[in-house]
Amino acid sequence: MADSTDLFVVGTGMVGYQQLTNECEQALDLSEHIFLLHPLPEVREYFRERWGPVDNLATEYEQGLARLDRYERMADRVLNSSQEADRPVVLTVYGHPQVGVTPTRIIIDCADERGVSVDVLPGVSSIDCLYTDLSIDPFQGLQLFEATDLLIHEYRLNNEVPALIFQIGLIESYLYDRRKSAPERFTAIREYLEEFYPPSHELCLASTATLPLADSDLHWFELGNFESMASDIDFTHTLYIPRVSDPPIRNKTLQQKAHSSGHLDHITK
Amino acid sequence: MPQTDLLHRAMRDFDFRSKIREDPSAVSEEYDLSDETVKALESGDETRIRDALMAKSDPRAVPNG
Repeated sequence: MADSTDLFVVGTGMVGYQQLTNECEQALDLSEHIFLLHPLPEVREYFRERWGPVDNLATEYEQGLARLDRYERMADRVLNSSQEADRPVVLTVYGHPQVGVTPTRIIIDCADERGVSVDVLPGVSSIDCLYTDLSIDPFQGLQLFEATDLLIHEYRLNNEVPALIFQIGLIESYLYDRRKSAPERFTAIREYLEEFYPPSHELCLASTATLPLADSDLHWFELGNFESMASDIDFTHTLYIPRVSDPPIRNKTLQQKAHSSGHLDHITK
Repeated sequence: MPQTDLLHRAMRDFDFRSKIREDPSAVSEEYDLSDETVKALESGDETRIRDALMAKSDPRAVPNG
C-alpha cells in the first residue's frame, strides 16, 4: 500500500462484504471519505456502521442514459474529492475494481493530469467465483470477452478453448436500462457463435452467488435455442462456452521435453 | 432479531453460514424465520432468499467486477 496515496480503489468481492480483504479494510480505515458503488443496501449499512458516512454512487444511474456518461460523472466526483481531501479517499465497488469497472479505468486514465496518486487494490472478481462455480482452471486455456465488444470487434473464437462472455444480458446496448430482453436481442450473438460452434453445443448461463446463503445459478441450454432463453437472462449472467472437444497435442516433441531433466538443464543457468 | 441480522452474521461467521446451509430451521427460532423463509433458505435460490430476507436492492447498480 503506497504511503502517498490520494485515492484507493478497492473491491468488496462478490458476496456482500464477506470477501472484503484485509488490505482493502486497511485502505478503508485510512480514508477520509468513502464512495460506494454496490447494489446491496446491507453492504452500505455495514460500511456506515463501521466507517461512517458513505457516498452512494448508484444514484448516478438514470434510465435510458449512456452508462459511459454516468461512469465519467462518478469518476469526476471521486477525483474532485481526492483533490480536495487531506487524507486518502476510497472508491469501493463490488467484485474486483479493475474487472469490468469503467469508473476505475477513467480514474486511472485521468489521475496523472489531475495530480492524484491512485492505488488500486485487487478484490475477488466474478471471474474468480466462476472458476469454482463452473469448476474450470484457466491454466487449461480460457477466452474472456465482453458481449457487445465481442460482436463489435468480431474477435475470432477458438472452439478448442473454453470461453466466458460477460454482460450477455446487456448485449447490443451501452445505454442503462432495466427492462427484460426480447428474444431478438440474442439473435446476432447466436448467429455469430454458430460460426464457431454447432447449434447443438451446450452453453451455460452462469450467475455467481452474491448472497452468503445462496447458490450460484447455472442454466444449461443448446446454442440453437439461445433466443428462447431471453426471459431467463438478466444483467448478472455470464455465458460459459465449454470447448467443443479436447484439443489434440500438436507439439509432441515439446510435450516430451517438458518432462525431461536434460531439457530443463538446457533452458536454465 | 431482524432477519437482516442473519445476513450480516452469515457474512462474518463461516460456522454460522455452514450451519444454516445444512439446516436453516436450526436458526428459525433465534431469528423468527417464517416457514416460507426457511424454505427459501433451503432452496439456495438467490432471488427467493433476497425476497425473503432483504431490503430492496438498489435497482440501478449494474454489474461489474
